[in-house]
Amino acid sequence: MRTKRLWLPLLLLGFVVLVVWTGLGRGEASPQDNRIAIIMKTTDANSHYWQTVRSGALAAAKELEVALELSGPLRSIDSDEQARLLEKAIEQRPRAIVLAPIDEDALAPQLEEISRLGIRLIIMDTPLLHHRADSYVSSDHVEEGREAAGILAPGRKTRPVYAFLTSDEKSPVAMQRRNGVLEALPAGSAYNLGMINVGKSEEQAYRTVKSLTVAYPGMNGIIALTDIGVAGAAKALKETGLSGSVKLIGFDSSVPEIQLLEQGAMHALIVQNPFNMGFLGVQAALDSSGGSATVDIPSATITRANMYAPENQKLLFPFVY
Amino acid sequence: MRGRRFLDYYPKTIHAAISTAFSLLILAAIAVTSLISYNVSEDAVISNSEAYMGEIITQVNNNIQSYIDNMENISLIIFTNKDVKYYISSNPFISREEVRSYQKNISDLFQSLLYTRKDIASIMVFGYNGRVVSDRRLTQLNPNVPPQDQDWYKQAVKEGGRSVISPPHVQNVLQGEYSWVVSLSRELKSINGMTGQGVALVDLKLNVINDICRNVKLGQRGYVFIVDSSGNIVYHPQQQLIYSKLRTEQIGRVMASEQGSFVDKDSGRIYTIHDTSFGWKIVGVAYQDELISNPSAMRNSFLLWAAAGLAVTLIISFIISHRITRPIRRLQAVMRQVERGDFDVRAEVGQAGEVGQLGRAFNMMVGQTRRLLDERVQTEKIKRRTELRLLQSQINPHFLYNTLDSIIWMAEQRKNEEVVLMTSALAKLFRASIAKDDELVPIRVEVEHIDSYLQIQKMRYRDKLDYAIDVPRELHAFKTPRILLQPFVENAIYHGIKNLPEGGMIAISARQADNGIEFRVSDNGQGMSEETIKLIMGAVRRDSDRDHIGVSNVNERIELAFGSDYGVSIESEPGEGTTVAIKIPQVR
Repeated sequence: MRTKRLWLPLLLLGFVVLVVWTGLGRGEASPQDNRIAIIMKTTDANSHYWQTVRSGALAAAKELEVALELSGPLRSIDSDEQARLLEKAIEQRPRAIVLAPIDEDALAPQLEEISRLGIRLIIMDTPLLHHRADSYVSSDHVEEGREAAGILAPGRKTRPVYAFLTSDEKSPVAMQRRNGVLEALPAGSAYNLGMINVGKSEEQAYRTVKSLTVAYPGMNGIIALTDIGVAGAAKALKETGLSGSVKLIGFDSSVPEIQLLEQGAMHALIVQNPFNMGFLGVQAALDSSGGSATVDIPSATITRANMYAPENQKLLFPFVY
Repeated sequence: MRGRRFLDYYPKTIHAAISTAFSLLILAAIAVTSLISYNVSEDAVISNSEAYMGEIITQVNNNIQSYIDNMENISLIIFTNKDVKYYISSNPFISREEVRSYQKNISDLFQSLLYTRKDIASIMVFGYNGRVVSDRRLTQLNPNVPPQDQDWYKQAVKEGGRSVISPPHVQNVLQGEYSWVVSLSRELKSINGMTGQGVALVDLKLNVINDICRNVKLGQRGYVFIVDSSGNIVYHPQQQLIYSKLRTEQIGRVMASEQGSFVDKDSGRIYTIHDTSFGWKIVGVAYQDELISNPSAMRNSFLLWAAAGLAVTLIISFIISHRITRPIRRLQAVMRQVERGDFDVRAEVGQAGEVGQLGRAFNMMVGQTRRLLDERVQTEKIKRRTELRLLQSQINPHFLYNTLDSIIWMAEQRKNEEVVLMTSALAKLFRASIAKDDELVPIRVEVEHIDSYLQIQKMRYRDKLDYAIDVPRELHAFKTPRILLQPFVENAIYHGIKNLPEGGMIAISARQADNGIEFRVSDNGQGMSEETIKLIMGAVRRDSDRDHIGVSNVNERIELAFGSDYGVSIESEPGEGTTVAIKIPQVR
């Protein structure tokens, strides 16, 4: 009799406890799960490109509410330092690592460790050739090459005669751009004068282009895969008075290149969108649904005519904040 | 089957019913009030947040406005400056030296202005006469970018003296400088104030606006953006994504809205718009779910308090219903005692309420029942006694006739001794039945009575009936109800022996049983079946059947007088005979 009378209040109390318990249990996400390490090629404040990547990554971190640990070597050629930073990031066991590799070979042990631990790996900017990544966030460098080819031969009226200038034959980005050009301009439809390595010397580029103008008077295009090649080539073309007739095409922007573009000494710049790369890199790191493995960030072709359009100003003159 | 779904679970006791009703009512009340107050405080928090957002955006506006005002002031200084007027005037009488000194004066003025204001990037004047002066000692213009082709220049000329604010852009007119600025430009007038003579340019570093907007905190993810009067983005933290169409912003809706707030339902964002005096719209965007500083903490505290309140009130309701039903439960306990047959208990009547009245009525009822019961027992006794007296006083007329017939027959045969014996036995029998109404008689008297009866019967049935009485002398002094044995002996003769051709034997004995005396009346007659015994022992009495009245009457008489421990029991076997045991207490 006693127990029979007690069941109802007890039942109600139990119900209340259940309600409170489920109420308290909701909405508690561990912040530990949302840590993302991002390792850039450099944290050099003078590198507008990487500072803009950083801005994009920070904007994404704010929007998506993730804890971001940003790092990178001071100089963009210090691959040993990058390996060390990557190692440090792995020790923290973040949810994902976003990496812009300087030199894949120098990072090989760390990359294997990441894949062994099952940490999500997002690669930005430069593709990995020998290792697997969960996602690759970058401009399509082959497509950039195709765009450059399109500028060289608009409407296929004239047969392009062109040369490549590079300062690093091993750079996968430069190779992909070259392949894109070659793909769009197969032998027969264009005449390729070859790829000339000018090293890190503007002087070397200047001399190379000058001799090319003498050797191949019919040359109507130069694709400079690095900004060093652009400066030397522009100087040589200006001196020989060929600025208008030989199309000089470069990749990524710098103040001298912009000035050359303003002067008309340069025909086009193909620029990437580093802000979007940083933003989408962080977004891809969080996207555990295993979405598309490659996130393509379209590059923009900037000519003298459109360089001061609002959207292109942002690309050419990165406003770092 | 009826009402099976619900009524089976309906609480059965008043206590449970009251508890249930209280609990459900309280649960509902607390749920409703909690929900309402939660919603009310949520609304309060949201409207507070909106007001807070509005204040922040106003603050942003004031900050930006002060920078714009400052540019405006600088442009007015230039506008009214005599040196500038001369410098850009088309007056051909000003000598080259004078021009140079004007240029130096103006440049000094600009420098001092720039020195006091760190937010200004550059100040320049472009005369229609081709003269240019800036805050730099040596002004080197970018040869590839003619100022006349720039938007800010063209707009200033078009507006004819009113100031124009440009969207953020890269200022490229100076050689080798590419800085992000917001430009204020204004056409300068000649001394007569009518004809335009040049354009003044004041550049505000974009950092200033960026820093203001970037440092605004609107929750975790909220942000501020600015659009100009034609819907171009002046500032947006994710401008690049919008250009790349990876992200959309509600610019159309912002442009269509007046100053104030609206909520974008799809993304759950609140937009707070502030119109500036120079055509820009400053928009604060906050996420609704972030506005309630900590929605889950707020909800949890509400839940906790509701639960605590519920727990306390549940316990109180339990106690109250317990108190309310306590007198009823006491009454119930007393009733249960009465149910078991104890009519001596009385319910406590403590209070004057309904339960008190109930208790009083119950007590009255129990008293009445008790009285009625006593009365009934009394009536039963009187009835039995009357019946008995009837039985005792009535000598069966057949018996009397037969006996007298036998006496006559014996007298005719001159059997005087037998006549004397039989007549005296009949006389004793009559004396016994008309003796004074003394309930209990000594066993001796009863034995004499049954002896007389059997003598008469034996003479009548002669060889057919024989009998033996074995009652120890020491029992003679104890008392017994009158005419206890006669009905059984009568039965034994009429039903057991009379129809047997060879006759039978009746044995009457008495002995002391455990704290009582047991009489036994046995015959070796026909006997009877179990059903007949039940019929005889059963309370079924028919007025026409005297024999049965006899047996059950004796049994009831004994039970009434001495309790249920005593009474009559019959054992019988058809064809073998019947033994009746009559047990009474030892009474002196």
